[in-house]
Amino acid sequence: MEKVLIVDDIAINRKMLETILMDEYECIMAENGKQAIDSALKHAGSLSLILLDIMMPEYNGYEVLRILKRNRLTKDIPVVLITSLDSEHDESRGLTEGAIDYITKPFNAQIVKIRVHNHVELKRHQDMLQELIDIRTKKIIEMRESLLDAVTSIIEYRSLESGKHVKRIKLYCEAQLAYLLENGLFSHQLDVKNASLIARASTMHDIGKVSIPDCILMKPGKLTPEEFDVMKGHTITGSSFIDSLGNSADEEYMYYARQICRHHHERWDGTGYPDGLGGEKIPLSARIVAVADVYDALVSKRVYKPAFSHETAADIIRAGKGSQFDPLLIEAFNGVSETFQSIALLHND
Amino acid sequence: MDAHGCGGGIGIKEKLRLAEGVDYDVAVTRLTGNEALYCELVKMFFEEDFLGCLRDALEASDERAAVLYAHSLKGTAANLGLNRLSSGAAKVEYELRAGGFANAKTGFFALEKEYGELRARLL
Repeated sequence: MEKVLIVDDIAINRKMLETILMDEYECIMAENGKQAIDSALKHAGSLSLILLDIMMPEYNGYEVLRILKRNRLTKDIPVVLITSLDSEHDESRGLTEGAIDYITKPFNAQIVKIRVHNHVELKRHQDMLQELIDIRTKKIIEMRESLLDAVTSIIEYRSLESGKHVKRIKLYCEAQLAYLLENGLFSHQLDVKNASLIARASTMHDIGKVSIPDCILMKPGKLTPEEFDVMKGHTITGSSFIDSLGNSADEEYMYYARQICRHHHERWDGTGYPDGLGGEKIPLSARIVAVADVYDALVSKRVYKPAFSHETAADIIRAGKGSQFDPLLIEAFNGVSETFQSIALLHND
Repeated sequence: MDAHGCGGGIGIKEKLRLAEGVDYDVAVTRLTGNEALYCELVKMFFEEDFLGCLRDALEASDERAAVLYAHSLKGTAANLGLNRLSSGAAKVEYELRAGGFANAKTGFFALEKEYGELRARLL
């Protein structure tokens, strides 16, 4: 049975309302404002409606209404005011203060019953809808992520044995970001929300490779300087592509994706490409992806090299501290290198 | 005894039906025809002693309390179809709000008389 809270200082009125409603609802009674608020808080999760008298000693109905609407736990419970026929200003004031409807004294049992029923039903439907919306939104976000993962994996597929590289990169980034958040590093740049976005945007890092011809992309030997120049271009191509997408609903996500595309091959000492940025000028998101990308290349088999062991890869990464990589990120890498190892094992090609 | 009868107080039901200034049919209809409930609530009404509270408030010159009690008395009496009582209380409430304690006290005496007569007749 749904619960209804009845607030009136006059016993007779409470009795009348209870009698009218008790067949269909579990009635909780309150004699004054304080009891009303206590009861509302106590039953907040399961109250379908509050019937609230206005004229009461101490706290009057408006004051109670205001308090109910200000409290996060009770503000969404519909409130129906009980007023006297001769005070029209009561109704409009009550409705502006957040009451959903009013009933007048003397009570008409039929009308009270129907009004309560309608508002309880309305609330139930609103709650159901909200739940449905929440489920749908979650699904949409999941779908979009799957789609993006699929698209970026397809692009990687030409030069790699499988599409799992993209998944691993995301997981390496998540591991680094978790460490950074836990240890309060880069706290002025990172929070839980954008950390999640950065990890997701990392999947886009090599979309520019779609423009690299096969003969270069899949060349087993060392690239000539000219070929290397073409290869380096995938950073600019990728970020231009994202620029060309224009304004999207995912602005913040695209912001990180673009940074990552363009700058994930920069080096801490400024000798990277395409822009030769150094130090903290390189966006943090790109510095994080750089560590992930190089580690993954080291532990994976590629057309131009065999797979290295975790220990070898970790040593090479550490050797890049201050030259290729951000020293703070090497500290993070040391903190999560076991996680890196298990990701590589669990999701190997 | 029918299902909606007033049990042991056959008297009060008939008295209510016949009393002047009491709109029995309308009041019972408002309670979806529940005559037993109606009788019970009328008894509760007289037990509540609204009048006593109002009297005390007037004697203490407590305007706020007096308005509240007059208002409650008016509303509850109206709920129960005790219309003459309700208008009496409405008058007192009006006088109080208009600021006239003296007039309110006069109105109160009239109300008190009406209340006493009705009570005596019914109970």
